[in-house]
Amino acid sequence: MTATLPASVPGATRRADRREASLLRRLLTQPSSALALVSVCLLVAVALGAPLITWLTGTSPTAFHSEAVDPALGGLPRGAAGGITSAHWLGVEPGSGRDILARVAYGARVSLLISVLATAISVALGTALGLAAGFFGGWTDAVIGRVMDLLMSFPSLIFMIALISAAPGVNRQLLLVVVLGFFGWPYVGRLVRGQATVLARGEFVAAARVLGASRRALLVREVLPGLTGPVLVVATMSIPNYVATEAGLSFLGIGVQPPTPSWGQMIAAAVPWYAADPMYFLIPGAFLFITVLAFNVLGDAIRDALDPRSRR
Amino acid sequence: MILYALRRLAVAVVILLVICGATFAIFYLMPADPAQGACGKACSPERIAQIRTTLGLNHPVLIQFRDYLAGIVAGRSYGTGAQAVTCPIPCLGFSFQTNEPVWGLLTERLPVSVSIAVGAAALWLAVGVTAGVVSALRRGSVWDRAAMVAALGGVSLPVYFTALVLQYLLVVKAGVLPYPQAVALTDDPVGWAESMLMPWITLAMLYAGIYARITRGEMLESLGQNFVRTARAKGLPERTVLRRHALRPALMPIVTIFGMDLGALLGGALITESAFGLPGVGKLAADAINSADQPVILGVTLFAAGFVVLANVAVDLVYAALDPRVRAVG
Repeated sequence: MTATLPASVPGATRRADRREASLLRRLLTQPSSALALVSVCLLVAVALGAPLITWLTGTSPTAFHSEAVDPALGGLPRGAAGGITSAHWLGVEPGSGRDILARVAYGARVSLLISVLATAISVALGTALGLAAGFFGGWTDAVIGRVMDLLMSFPSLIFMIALISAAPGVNRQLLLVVVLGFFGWPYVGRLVRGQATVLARGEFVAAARVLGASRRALLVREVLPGLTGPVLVVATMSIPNYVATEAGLSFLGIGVQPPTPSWGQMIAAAVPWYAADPMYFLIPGAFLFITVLAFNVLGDAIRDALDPRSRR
Repeated sequence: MILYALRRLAVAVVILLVICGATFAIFYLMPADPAQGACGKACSPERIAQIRTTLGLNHPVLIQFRDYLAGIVAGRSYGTGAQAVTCPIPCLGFSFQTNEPVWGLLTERLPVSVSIAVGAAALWLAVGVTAGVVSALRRGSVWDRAAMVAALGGVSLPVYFTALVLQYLLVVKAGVLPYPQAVALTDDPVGWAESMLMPWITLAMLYAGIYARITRGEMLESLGQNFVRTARAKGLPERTVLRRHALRPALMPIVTIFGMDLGALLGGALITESAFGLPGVGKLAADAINSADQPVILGVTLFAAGFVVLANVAVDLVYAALDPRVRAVG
């Protein structure tokens, strides 16, 4: 989703490729960002390979395993540490006996899918509107600026909840993507606007204008490429935000609906059991924490790599 | 300055009106029927029709919205004749579940939310800013690295997860704290602090990380400025240089973010309150959502937005008082 140069400019594409290669090398040379990158790749692998995992372990995220829980103990998993056995690698849910690994893996799919799509929406909207505000200035800037201020002063969590709970029949995951993306774009827009204002005053833009470049060409060829770096950083930083918000909404019971598993929903389901079976909330919680942390570290590292000034 | 303040307030009122309109539109244009919600599941068509008349749902949406706004500033009464129910200023309607006035519910729950927000804010401000300053002064040291790793970890911790871990460790395993419950500060100060300690730590872990990172960045920025070099060159003691010349400008952005964060939390820490089962404004919202209690959801949204918008105004005014350039531009 990050804005790259149009493919019709061969020289520029090669330049962008080179820059991406050097960015990757920088990320891999630092232990913290390399670890974060590996974690993110592993998470994506778990999410994509969820069906493979359940095939290997012979379970499914929705299958009940009554033999794995002990009715005499109120439905607590049989065995130590939340029922970790060779059949259930991360244990089972108390009560229903559903396999936690299968649910966590399928939960990763939901979580990553929603946050990546929401990021795509907020980055697309934020870049387009921020670019327009910064480049054209004047009335365009005033109107877009006010809308951004307004959206940022909304109590967005409560508002999202109100919006979602007022639309019962709608596909919940789609609604989450749209709502998260919609409330997220002003943060991208504000950054892009600032950057675009600076770039639009640049000498290279003036030169292109003198050479007779159309407005469209100025926007797309001169200003937009300069935004790649900041937009990449803000996109990486918004993914963990959306992962956390989606999980929070699901924790409150208005995010992803059962039977589709989600990490926040699993933690909410674990609340009544937290004293007797702490593994039940620790496992989805740990996945959530590691995901958010890995993306945060990665976002920091990309920012430092692209902007040496911020590396202190 | 007064003109600036008035203009800022006018903008705030407009923002609140837009938020009010948007929230209102969501509820009254969406498929769920408020009259059905007010009446419950087993309800005769006549009763629904009667409720529609009483709540004014038979009027066009714009008239309903006007009545709602009028209710906030002037109060209103539902129904006519002997059955009329008056709703005093500021009227946000009545809960579908309990039939209590929404404003009463909000003010009743507010002390819990304020207790959580103010205590947590004091904690994260102290920890976050101190950690950030020390990190900036000892840049690259073991302390700096450890603090920044901890800060990033804190930022990444979901509140409800921290809440469960703390409850498991402190209440179940160690038994040093009681289960959180609403204790009024005036009734039992010690019990109040004990029951609030876990929510405070939970929120502070999240926010202290953010504040430490910002403080460190700003502090490094200002330490590199010419005025700090000048202050040192004048031979001022290092303490004075740091406190008066380096820390002060570094704290300006912190003031902005602090105002907004505190404003947002005063209107209810939704997830934290739900996770600990504390009856604040946020828990009220969560409960209202689960029972589709529309007037309460509408009321909480406006109430919370009011705090956010007021905090914005307050921050802008503090800024304008500190920095005259803001007044000229704004």
